[in-house]
Amino acid sequence: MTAELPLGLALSFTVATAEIGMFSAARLFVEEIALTGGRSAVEAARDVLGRRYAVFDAIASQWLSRGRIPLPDPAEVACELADSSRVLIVGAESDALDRLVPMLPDQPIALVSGAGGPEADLHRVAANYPDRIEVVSLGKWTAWAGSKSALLTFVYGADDHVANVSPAYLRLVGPDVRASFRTLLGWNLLGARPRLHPLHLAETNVSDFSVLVAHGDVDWN
Amino acid sequence: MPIHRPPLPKLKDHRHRHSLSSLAEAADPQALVDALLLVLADRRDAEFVARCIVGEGPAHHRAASWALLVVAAEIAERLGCKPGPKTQAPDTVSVALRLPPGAARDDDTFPLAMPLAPLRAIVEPSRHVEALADALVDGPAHHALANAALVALFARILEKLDARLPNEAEPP
Repeated sequence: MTAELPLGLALSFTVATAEIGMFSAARLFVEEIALTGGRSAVEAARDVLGRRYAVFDAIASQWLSRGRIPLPDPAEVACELADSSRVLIVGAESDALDRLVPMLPDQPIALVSGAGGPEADLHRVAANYPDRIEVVSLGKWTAWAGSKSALLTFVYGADDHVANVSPAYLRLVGPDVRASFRTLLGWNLLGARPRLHPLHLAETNVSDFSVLVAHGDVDWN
Repeated sequence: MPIHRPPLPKLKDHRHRHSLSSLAEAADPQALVDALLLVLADRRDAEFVARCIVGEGPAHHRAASWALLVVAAEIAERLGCKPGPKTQAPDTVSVALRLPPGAARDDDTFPLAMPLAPLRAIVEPSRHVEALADALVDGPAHHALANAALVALFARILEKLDARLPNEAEPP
């Protein structure tokens, strides 16, 4: 039996990914769909959205196999950033930022805007963290560089060699940028790489990061 | 008709006999971090500087810088130098991050400063020392940091040699 899904699901999910991030949107949608339609609805939503959004497929599969979706644990990330003078973030994931930002009370934090890809009005996103997060344009990254600075981005699955990241990250990172931040932190929200090719993400070398914080031992496939 | 391929010229030296991946395999970053801990007190600073030296720039530069620094550290250790250097000497020049001029802040230089004592040992007056220092810390980060780290290791080696008693010195 095919469960009935809300009209406009794909469109609303696309909007949500820009507003709160691909992981956070997938987690929210899967939990809400499960609440209203149960397992068959999650399976149907995975069929509808999975091929286009590999992160949704991974998270729906996680819910279907384990009945829960672990939220990002910020402890290790906060520990790595504890002595950073400032933190520049590429990408926005509300599930991760909601937990990380309160753990970094002393560091200035900024989100990079204008780096391409689906992007919400980041000023509106930053307004959820009053006086804690500012928005800087891509060209202003040098103001956030420094020998104690950190550059953070979200990773959507990695193996020993390759990590899936937002294309915006590749717009920013190059040899000069890598040598201008002490910490290049990838926060892996998925763990293993998704089983489907993530059409909206780009690949980078795992070795580009000075630290890759893993998301436990979750097997999403 | 078979394609004629002229024989490859016989190599007369060691140039380009090894793949880039074998260079990367030979230059273990951890050995460089250990070497840098002779001139930097903080391990994370040493890891940052090591990443800039062996993680950026042309492959032959990475491997060459790694080899020179690890050999210099080996000499320093054989002379008795231990990790955990004293506070940076005042007679140093900083290595600037490659950033456009902007608002002044306290972390726009790399954590490794280059001591001038080794240069003062070979040239005078000061303007010559400063000219050499300028040349050593100029250029891309991997280049400037490798130079500064090598001079810093030389400084520790020279300090150790200067501290040796006269009867320990080699006969002329």
